[in-house]
Amino acid sequence: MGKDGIVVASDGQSTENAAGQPIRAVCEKIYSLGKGALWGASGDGGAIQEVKRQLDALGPTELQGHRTLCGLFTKIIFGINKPRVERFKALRLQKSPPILAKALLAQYDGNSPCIVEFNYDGSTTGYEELGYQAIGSGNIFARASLQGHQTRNLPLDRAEILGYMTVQKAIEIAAYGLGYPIDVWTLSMKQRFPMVERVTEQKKKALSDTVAAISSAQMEVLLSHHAPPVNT
Amino acid sequence: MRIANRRRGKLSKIQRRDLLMALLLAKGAGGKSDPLDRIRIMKSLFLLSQEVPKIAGLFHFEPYLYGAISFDVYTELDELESAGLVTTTKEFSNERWNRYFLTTKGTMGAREASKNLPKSILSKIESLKRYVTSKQTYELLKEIYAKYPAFAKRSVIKVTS
Repeated sequence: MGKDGIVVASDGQSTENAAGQPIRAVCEKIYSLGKGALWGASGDGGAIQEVKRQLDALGPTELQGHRTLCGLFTKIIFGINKPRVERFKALRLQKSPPILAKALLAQYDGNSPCIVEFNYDGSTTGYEELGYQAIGSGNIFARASLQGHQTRNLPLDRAEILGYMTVQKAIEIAAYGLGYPIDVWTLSMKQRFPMVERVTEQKKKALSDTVAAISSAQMEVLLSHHAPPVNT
Repeated sequence: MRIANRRRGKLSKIQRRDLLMALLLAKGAGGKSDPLDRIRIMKSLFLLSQEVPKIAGLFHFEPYLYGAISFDVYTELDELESAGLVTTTKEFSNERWNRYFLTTKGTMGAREASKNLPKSILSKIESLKRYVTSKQTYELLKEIYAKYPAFAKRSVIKVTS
């Protein structure tokens, strides 16, 4: 969450359960709800598809208002996870529990930007005060990258860089479960109305190059302030 | 003589693609046709467009997050990659993401493209290739920002001398 908008970024890989080992697939994870909200989900590809299918089945009037959307996401996420857990308990075919769905909603409630996480169990958490949140298997990496950045003070173009850098680092670090391509969206107020925009492929290249330039500057800072050891 | 005439005849028809391919073909500081990352490609073409008036309008450069960039360069690189003339290798290093190499087909195309360019431009490309490959990224950006400060005004990296 920047000072003039929200950036939502994701990797492009979903992880599916299979007989031998989990398998990966390319998957979109960020979607817009009209012009005023963005949502993303984690879990396997089927869970994300199910959230999207249920939202697509609703008319525009049913998707208006922050409270309405929060209620819908809570119901959908819990509704997807509950039978998965019940089936797992009943069958016990897998050693590890099923991959459960979570969702993150970015939206303006009036003029106030909101980030809400919808947990496995139907509970919700707001992240307006912290200014950022991450879900999915890369969330620890993302949170570690975002920690310490005063995201609420960042202009939107700087927040885009941070969002891109965060996902890129998570993909590079994680042993599995994350992969390219990176997807970046913004939500900001344009002439008193919220507006979602997807960052173009060309602009993502510029973001990637900017991240490389920042890395070179960080190295310069570390190297230039290196003092030689003092002999005692 | 024929080549000289051909070069003179092509002056008004310099293509962005030819410049890009000639840049990738040119020898770098290591004495070989070193592959280039996008920052070095971008900065080479920016310096070329600033320092060679004949090609000033070929790329539209604007101040952006890491200094001067032209989105035309990204478009050209994508097209060269789609045409099988260049390929990229992604490596685990912040400094060298997505370096662009000429393929065998691209090398032949680049040799042909170089023939179409005036000697003065080819010579400038070669000297720029040596320059950008002899510098660390930060050092390169710092020098270019100092020389063309108007294009550094939106940069996330602020350089003070």
